[in-house]
Amino acid sequence: MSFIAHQVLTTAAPGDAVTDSALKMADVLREFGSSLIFAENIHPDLYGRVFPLRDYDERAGNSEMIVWHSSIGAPEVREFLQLRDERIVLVYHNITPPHFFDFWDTDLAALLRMGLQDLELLRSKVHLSIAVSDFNARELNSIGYRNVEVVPLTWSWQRLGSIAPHQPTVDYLANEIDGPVLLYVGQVSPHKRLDLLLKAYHILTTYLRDHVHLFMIGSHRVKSYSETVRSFVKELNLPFAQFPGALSDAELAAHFERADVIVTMSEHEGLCLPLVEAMAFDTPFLARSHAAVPFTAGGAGVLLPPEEDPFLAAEAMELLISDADLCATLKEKGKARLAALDPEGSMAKFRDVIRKVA
Amino acid sequence: MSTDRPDLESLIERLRALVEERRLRGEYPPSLDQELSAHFHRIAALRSVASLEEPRKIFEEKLEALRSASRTPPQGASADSHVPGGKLAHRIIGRLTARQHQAMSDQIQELAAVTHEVFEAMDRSERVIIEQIFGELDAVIERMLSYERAPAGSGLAEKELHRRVEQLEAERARRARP
Repeated sequence: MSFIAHQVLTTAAPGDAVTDSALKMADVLREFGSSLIFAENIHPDLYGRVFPLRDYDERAGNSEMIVWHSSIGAPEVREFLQLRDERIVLVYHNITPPHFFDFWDTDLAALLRMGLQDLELLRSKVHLSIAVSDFNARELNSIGYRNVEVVPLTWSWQRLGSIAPHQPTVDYLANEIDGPVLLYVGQVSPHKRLDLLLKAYHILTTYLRDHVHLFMIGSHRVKSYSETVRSFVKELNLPFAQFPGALSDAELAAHFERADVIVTMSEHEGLCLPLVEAMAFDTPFLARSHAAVPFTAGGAGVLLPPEEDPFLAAEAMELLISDADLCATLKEKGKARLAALDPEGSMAKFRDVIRKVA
Repeated sequence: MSTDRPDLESLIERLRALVEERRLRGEYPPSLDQELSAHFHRIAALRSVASLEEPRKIFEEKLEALRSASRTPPQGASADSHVPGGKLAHRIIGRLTARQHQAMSDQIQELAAVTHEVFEAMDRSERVIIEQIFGELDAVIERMLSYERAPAGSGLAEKELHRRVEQLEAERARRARP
């Protein structure tokens, strides 16, 4: 079977989860024939690997299928897809509900709303949809999508586990950081609820255990929220809480190796890859039972109920730091869950889905 | 996987009980969660004012430009001309109308200076108003927290509210007196 299938996304940037997925999927699509990636906005580092959407007609050849990665709204991408005759496969990584950003970043909230509208406007054009979790599949079903396959796109944890950790970071964490380490990995963004994480951490270090480090690693895309949580850390006088920013994979791997517990209080996740990475690094994790988190965790970590309770979260942190038996049990469960989220299995399923459409 | 879930659920129940025990023993302050939330929201509210930084910077730049314009001495128009004899004609006309031009220029400079003063005064009053609003917001948040902290059914909050209303009414009556 041979056919041409290209991928279309709004923004291509290094380290971005959607871009990483597209690059990985391109390997599978090239097994069937020619396959390129097109985007409306391209980071210079990806020139040559990703092409401008305006060049599609010139470069696409006789394409038969478009794999569209939906994200924030982009009228240019929507209008492009509306005019195409190829079969369209939607990959739904999830769109964060805009209400999380209404207070912090109204422009971003508007783009997210537009992204949700695009999903509805293009529904009739989409031949089949791929959701990265059953939660995402339910979201698509709720807006009228019917032909939905769940394919967990978990391949990046292998990449992180297979690279050598950054040695200076390993040395720094081994020599300069004493005591337990909590690690948060993700954007510093309102839906991740770093405010709740910091409340719980404050309770932990004030009332339960006084010397715990908290690293919150990730990009700061919402300036007002980022500045607020930084001020919160300063005003609560939490000297061991740090924001190292977005790190390289090697630096991140070093932090995963050193961490005692992976923590997140996020209220919206399409998959929550850091939990899978935690399992890969044999590190217990603590999260809240929201969105796709229960699916991804699969019983391999401590999940707090959806309601906000920083005291409960602090107690759970303390338990995971101190209870070696519990951690050993969770690590075993993590291994089993990881096997179920096998990237090779995901690749095979993606391959099957593409064959089905072709 | 499903058989493991009850273990984790009972774990959460144990943790809940632990939190409750600590609360009863007084190890956790009763209103700490609300206070932390109020603290975070207060910072967030101040950040939204900080987001006005960029328009404020533009305003200050324009204000500075206006101030400079009001102090810069007027410069005469160039007498250059492409027409033969035009330069001489421009000079003669310039000399004939110099007094009128100077008077108009003085008036414009005076207007710029007054406009600058008006904008400065508006800017000062805006800053005062913002400070007052935040002061009052802080006071309101403090009051709300004290009501939330008061034991349910104690009537303390209502008594305090009654006292404050009476105090405000007395103040208003005092102001209304001729």
